[in-house]
Amino acid sequence: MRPTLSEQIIGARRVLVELAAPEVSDSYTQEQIAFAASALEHAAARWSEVLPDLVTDIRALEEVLGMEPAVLEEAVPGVVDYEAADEYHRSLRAQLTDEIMSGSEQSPAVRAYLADSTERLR
Amino acid sequence: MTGDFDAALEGFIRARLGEVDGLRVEGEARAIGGQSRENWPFDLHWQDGGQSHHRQLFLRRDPVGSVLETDRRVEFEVLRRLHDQPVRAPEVVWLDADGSELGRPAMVMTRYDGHNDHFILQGGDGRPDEDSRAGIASQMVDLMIEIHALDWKGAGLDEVLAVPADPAEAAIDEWAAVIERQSLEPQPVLAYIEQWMRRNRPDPGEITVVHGDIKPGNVLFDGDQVQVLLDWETVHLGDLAEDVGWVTNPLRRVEHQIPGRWEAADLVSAYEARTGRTIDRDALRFWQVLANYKLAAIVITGVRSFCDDRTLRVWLGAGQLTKLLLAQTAEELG
Repeated sequence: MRPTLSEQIIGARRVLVELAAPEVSDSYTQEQIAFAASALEHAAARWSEVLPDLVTDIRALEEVLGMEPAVLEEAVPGVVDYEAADEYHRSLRAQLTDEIMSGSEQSPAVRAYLADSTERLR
Repeated sequence: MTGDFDAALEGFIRARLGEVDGLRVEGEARAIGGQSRENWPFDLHWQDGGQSHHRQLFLRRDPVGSVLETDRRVEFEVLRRLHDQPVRAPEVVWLDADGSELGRPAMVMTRYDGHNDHFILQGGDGRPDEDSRAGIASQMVDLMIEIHALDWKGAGLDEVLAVPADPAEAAIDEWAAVIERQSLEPQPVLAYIEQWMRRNRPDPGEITVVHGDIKPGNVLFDGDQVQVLLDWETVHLGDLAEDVGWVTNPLRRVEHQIPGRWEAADLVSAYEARTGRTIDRDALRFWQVLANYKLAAIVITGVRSFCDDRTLRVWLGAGQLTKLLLAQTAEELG
């Protein structure tokens, strides 16, 4: 649907960069606008990848933790509840963190996950 | 500076100058630079005993939400003790340690002439030629050596700074605690890096003063001359290789190196040649990893401040740093 979410975010960024920033003389405020514009640019480029990357990372974490894949589409078949998936992902990361801190960071499975996860980390 | 803060600052100054006439504080807008403190340059005028006085000063105050939670009293006391030492550190003037007078902890220091340029070695604002930039890079090594050569016992720094039995272990403990305290979510990669550092930490060596954040962005320059090193909030006693690792961190090469002219190996060689010390390369690698682990802790603190609505700075996560940390320790990942 148009405008897409990316187009809306980029439009908001243009307001900041082209309209607001030139009117500001204070360097501190200019710096904060630049950070905000950068964050919007990042969001526009990344938002569509967030859910697929989350699901991929959940599956990888389940594997490294020796767990069966959970059903992530509970309410609507084929549609992942992002908030629930994010919460589940957090719990898996907490479990892995505990395992690493208890000394399993040198296991081949954990090392393989960490190496693969570099591509999903943004 | 405006409103209540102006009045608070004037009261703070009056409490220290006593009964003087014609007290006038001329402030400007908050200065750019420094993500961890609010910086306010101001001029102070007053008359006392028929004499007119003028001082150029600089106020550094803790923000509501910072990227570093450090103690202004420690920084102030260190700088006060360094004032008569052979090191280019700023002169501190007054302290509000608990923020009871200025709203939040703050200190006032002498304001120096000179310009600040984070990327001066790449050309920066003044576009110095390559020879000038190489000269600046060389002076940055001298500045670091100056700090490491300080007689910290003679200066009484052990009265305000802890003397670590094992600097590497102390550094890991300190930044792991920051990550534990500040992180809003589990950090398995950083947990892995912490364990890697614990397995690979160097043996304790000579204890020196460590600045903790040496970079052109914390220096005031007069043309192509290093004048003074600012921002001592991460100063501590530790392993001198920590500073060498910080300035040779691959992530920061654009700030500290000149491609093809002054690279990390040149910097370390210059340090070794001028000091007669040898930097163990495995220890250096450890401290380069620690540098990015510390930066990850700083970013995580910034993220928390942002998510808690304590700062307007929009922070992205520490993902890129964790990627780099994994790359730095990659051979163990297979």
